[in-house]
Amino acid sequence: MTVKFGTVDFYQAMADQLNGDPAWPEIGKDLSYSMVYVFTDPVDKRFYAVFDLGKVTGVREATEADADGVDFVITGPPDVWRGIFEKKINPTAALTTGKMKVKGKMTTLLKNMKAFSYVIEAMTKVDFE
Amino acid sequence: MSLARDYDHFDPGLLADPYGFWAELRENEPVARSDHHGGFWVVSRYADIMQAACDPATFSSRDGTGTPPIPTKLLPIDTDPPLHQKYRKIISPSFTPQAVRAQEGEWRSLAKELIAALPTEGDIELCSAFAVPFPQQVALRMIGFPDDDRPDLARWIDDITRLRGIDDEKVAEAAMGVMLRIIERLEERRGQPPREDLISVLLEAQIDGRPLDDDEQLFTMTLLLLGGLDTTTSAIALALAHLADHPDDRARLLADPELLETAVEEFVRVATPVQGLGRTVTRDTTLSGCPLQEGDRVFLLWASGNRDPRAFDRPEEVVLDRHPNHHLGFGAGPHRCVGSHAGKLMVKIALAALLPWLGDYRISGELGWVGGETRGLRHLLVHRVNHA
Repeated sequence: MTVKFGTVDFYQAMADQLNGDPAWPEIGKDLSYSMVYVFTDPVDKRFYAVFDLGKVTGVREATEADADGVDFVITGPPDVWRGIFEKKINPTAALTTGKMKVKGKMTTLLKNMKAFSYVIEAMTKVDFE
Repeated sequence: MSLARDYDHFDPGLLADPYGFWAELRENEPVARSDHHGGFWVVSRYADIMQAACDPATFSSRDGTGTPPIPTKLLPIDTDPPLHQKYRKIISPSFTPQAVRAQEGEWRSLAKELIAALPTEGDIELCSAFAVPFPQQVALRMIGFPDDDRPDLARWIDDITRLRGIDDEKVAEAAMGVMLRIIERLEERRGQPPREDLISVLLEAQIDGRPLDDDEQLFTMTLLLLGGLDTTTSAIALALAHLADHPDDRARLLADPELLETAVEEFVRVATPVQGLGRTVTRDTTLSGCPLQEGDRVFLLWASGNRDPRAFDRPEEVVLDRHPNHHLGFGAGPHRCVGSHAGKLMVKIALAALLPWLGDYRISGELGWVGGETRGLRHLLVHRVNHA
């Protein structure tokens, strides 16, 4: 099913993709973090998801307050997000060049890089317009 | 139109001889706008650089000092006072003159080992054979990395230093490599008896009455690697190149080893291994009459300030006994390089060990320069006169 870019449907599709993936329970078994994904202007939206030991739950539009309480906030302009989803931009390069910003524990992110990369990979499999 | 509009310190065309351009900037447009890396102001005069470096309230390091940005936070330099001093106090005891002198014997032994492995005949490439590995091995031992980590770490640090804005994917890969290796080494050492190295210092350090967290340890280690692996080489290599072409200076140093004290400072001034570092303007201000706005990025071009005739007599010459020599080779202000004493001692040991062994020597081929945040020679082919 095709979902719209920059909507909660995209993140729900990502969650469905991972939750239906037989490899994900093992790959994501150590992830226990809440995340907010922020799309800056002109989309200006934020989305919330929980990675809970091999399950993705609680997908919804995020409130501003969510950003203060979650483990990670990943912020970027819509064109960079789109480039990542379309595999035209390397997500690690986007982070390290500052095109995307991460708020949260870098060490945690790095230690779980394989699982987080798998999440990004799931995003690239979502059919969106 | 700004003289610096096309200026980029990563530009290969400015590696070997940027001096004329820097002089033009100092003379005609001491604070000049470059369009590169999102736009930044190039500050080229000694006095302006000092003013900005010593005013962290107006010229902040909080948003990072890399131009373009370094792919990770670095501690303590990506902070302003008073927080900066708290982080710096953790590592500074390891870099006092006394602390580094305590390691002098070990460093001299390492220099001797490297010299013993040099070819006794034919051309010698002094960078790969000595000027690169010597400071790298010293720095890694000080921090607490095994020698086996050197090839990977050196390559990654080199990519981060030279390829930002040129090959983002390679820089990302390098940054990941460095940070994951640091995390691995820190994890190995947790709960182990402390050793005489900076890993142990960081694992035991406290700030505001609490231990450093994982990220603080990671960001401090990353800075130590960036600062330690790719800077001192430039001063050693430039000194060796100068002394190849100036046998009188070489003879003076051999006859009077105490001259090394001032000579090392002078080589650091002329080499200025870190070309410059960035700051972010926190409020509207002016520098040399140039209006700067809150949020502007400035690039303090230490290397140009070190050749400013307003600050140095005969700035383009190497004056072995220059004194005083308040150069910017280690930066200036609260962020002045914490490892300066270690760097100077390494250059001194390198020259004291190499010069007698080299005897009369000459440069054999083209000099190979590298640039980016740091700039210096990385290819210096020489031959010993009166040796086959």
